[in-house]
Amino acid sequence: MEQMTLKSVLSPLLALSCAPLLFGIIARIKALFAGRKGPPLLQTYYDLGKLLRKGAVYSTTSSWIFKAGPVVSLAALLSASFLVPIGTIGAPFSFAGDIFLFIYLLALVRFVMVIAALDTGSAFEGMGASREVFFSALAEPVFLLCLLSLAQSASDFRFSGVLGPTEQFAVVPAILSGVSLFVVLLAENARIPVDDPATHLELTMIHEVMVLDHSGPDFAFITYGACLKLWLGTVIVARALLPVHANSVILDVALTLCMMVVLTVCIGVVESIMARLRLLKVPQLLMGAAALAVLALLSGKGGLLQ
Amino acid sequence: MKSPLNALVIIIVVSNFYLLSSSRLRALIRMAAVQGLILGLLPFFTQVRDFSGHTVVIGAGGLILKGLVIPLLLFRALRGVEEYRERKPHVGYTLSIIAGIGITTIAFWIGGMVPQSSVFPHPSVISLAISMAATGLFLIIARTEALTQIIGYLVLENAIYGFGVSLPSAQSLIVEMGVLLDLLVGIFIMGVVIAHINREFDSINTDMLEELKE
Repeated sequence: MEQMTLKSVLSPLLALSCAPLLFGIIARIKALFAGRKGPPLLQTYYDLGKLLRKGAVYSTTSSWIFKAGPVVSLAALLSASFLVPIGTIGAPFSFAGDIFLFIYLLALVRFVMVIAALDTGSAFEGMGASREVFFSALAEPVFLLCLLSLAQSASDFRFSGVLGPTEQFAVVPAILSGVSLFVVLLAENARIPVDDPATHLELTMIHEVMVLDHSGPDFAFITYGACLKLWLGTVIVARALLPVHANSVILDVALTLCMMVVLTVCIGVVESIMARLRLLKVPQLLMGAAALAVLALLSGKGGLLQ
Repeated sequence: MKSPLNALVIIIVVSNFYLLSSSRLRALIRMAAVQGLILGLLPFFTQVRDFSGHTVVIGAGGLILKGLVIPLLLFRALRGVEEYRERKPHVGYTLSIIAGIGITTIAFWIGGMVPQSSVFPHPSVISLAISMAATGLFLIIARTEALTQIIGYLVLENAIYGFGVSLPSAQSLIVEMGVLLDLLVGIFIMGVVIAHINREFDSINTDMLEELKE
């Protein structure tokens, strides 16, 4: 493990402080498309503050698992945010294979959310949990393939190498894995076209239905966790598409942040112009992303296509 | 000139995946046309060293025929056909994409074993040809609509064309033009066959042909 530097604490600090802003940007873009004024950019912070001040309501059928779910999931996401570097400032923790730890931390988040949903004993939440597991079982290998193709072109299995500055930027694999990662980003964060975060029809919900019973601080943890997950996802996609090395740390970070805002705007545009896919079509979309990821792996450095 | 050629190869493989995953007949024809157009660009990248009239004729012939004439013929064949999408494929679309991933990986693995030499200057195009041939055969087997099977046949022919233009020898002009002419005639006849199947069964599903028993 490398020595933790003071500078590298900046990446998790940025993630922790600015993550809810991305939700604000998406809401603004959607409002713009609908011809509305939209909520303020900081609305998610206000919501989080309001939720934290409230008390939580617990169903009598639920056990400690239900209460542990949001806490464990937020803890796992906080740990994950300490692994992902932004720009070239590096992450506080970096070791060979930390990309796998990151994937399993996200899997842990999903696992505790699913058992917390099942613990409520509600049929709707069980249905949502089932769908969540189904789709993430398809999204996870694609995510792994994309990270592998990035690691392959960097010849490094650490996030600091995968997302770090690259000597030669291969356009074709970068576009392929970038597009594939973007689809995974939409699926993992329960956005359109996989899931509709705004819907309140239980029959169509996937992620939202799992967290229906959480309230107060618990729900604040879940919302904040979702923000962090989106932030970390956009960092990875931004670096896959734009592996900058401008020889200036500040410029690198600024470019990465700009790319992240562009990606967030893209999510907002996708949500505004597309409808949610039929549930049966989602595996097809994710398999398409898998095909692109495999192509990225084939066409990258050391791949079969040379 | 290696990188643009590989980019073209990747774009064609992506179009293969689109053909495997789409059920809309007209979208399939359009994508087959796009694939033909990109394939027509291939000789301009593979025949760099002896860029000649031969290259231009092969490229332009492929572009016009595959990108324009054949798609128009297919659209014409679809006139009066009620169906606009494949309803009951033998193999579903998600499974088709998985099969496509397997086909592509194996094809590129085989292509990777071909040593780069003066006989095979572009191993990546050979991988592409193998994956396209397998995709075309898969489409013919896995789909039931007559039109989708024709598309499979087109992809198969595209593979042969791609393989041909990747070779450095220039004597294949007559063979190439012959293949293109055969293809054109084949599509003509298949268009007529589609019209006949449609008139008989009010559908172009080839599984209906099983009813034609004594």
